[in-house]
Amino acid sequence: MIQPFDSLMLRTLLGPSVAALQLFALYVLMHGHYSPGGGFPAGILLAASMILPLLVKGRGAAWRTLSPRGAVTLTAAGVLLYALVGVASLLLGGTMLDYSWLPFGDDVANRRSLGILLIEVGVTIGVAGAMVSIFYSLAGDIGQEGGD
Amino acid sequence: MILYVIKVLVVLLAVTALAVVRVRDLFALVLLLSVFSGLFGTLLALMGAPDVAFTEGVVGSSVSTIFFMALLWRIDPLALTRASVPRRLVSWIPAVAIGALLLYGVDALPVFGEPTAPPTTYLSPEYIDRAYGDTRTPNVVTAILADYRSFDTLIEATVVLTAALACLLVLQRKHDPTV
Repeated sequence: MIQPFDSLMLRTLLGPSVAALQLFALYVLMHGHYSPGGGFPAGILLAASMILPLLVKGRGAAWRTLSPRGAVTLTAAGVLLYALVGVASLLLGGTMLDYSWLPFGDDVANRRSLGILLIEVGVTIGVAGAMVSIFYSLAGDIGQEGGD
Repeated sequence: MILYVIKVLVVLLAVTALAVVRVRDLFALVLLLSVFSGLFGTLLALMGAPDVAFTEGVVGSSVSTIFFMALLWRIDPLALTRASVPRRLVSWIPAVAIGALLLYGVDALPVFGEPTAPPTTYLSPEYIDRAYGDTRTPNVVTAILADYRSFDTLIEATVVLTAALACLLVLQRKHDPTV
């Protein structure tokens, strides 16, 4: 059961927190090549930014967050993106997940760098969807659009 | 200095673990588990594994706490009863045995930061040498995870998908009045 929790502070802080979380998630994802982070933590942060409105406003509120069905779809889409990158490098002449065969410019190392970014995006999407989906499963009210 | 802080953190970890075992209130238990993960993440960061520390921070002390809280809504605290003494003994025996086994095995591990230890001499230097030239990725951990061992990470992603699907299948209840 997800119910709104009426608190002025929570409601006021919700917007800025969600914005900060999503910005930070994006930073962690894009900066994974240079600093700690990458797809997995970025996905968790993104999921947190989608779970937070549910916790504060409840399912019934007009917050356009992910639906249970959308969460599962997003998870599958993330894993699919990852697998497709692997299959693409396979079809382009290399071995599975060998990014140096992807068509991203002339420099082999740069191609591999961009390949890493691409699969990290897949991991982020997949993990974010999975976490939101698990939260819905645990908190109940699955399939009950609009909530209480 | 860092070694001193690490020692303090290990003691705090042990105290938190004991508190987790002893505490009776479920809400306090969830918060203590979060504290445990936070301390453990700090420990990992101090020991030079910031990537693992970051993941421990966001998964262990944040999202899993939210999941446990979501579960607490479903549990009637009055319906919980304490297990009988023989049952508790049965669960204590393997716990103590595994703990003793791990303590026994600690002796065989290389000293932390030892430059001649197998983990620092075998394979790691090669990754550190080659990663930037191969992939233009200064963070060697990312290069290993997402390039050299990309298969691993792909299967890991499918594990996450499977976990989400399993939770959905096991926990999904459509208007079941008993839940």
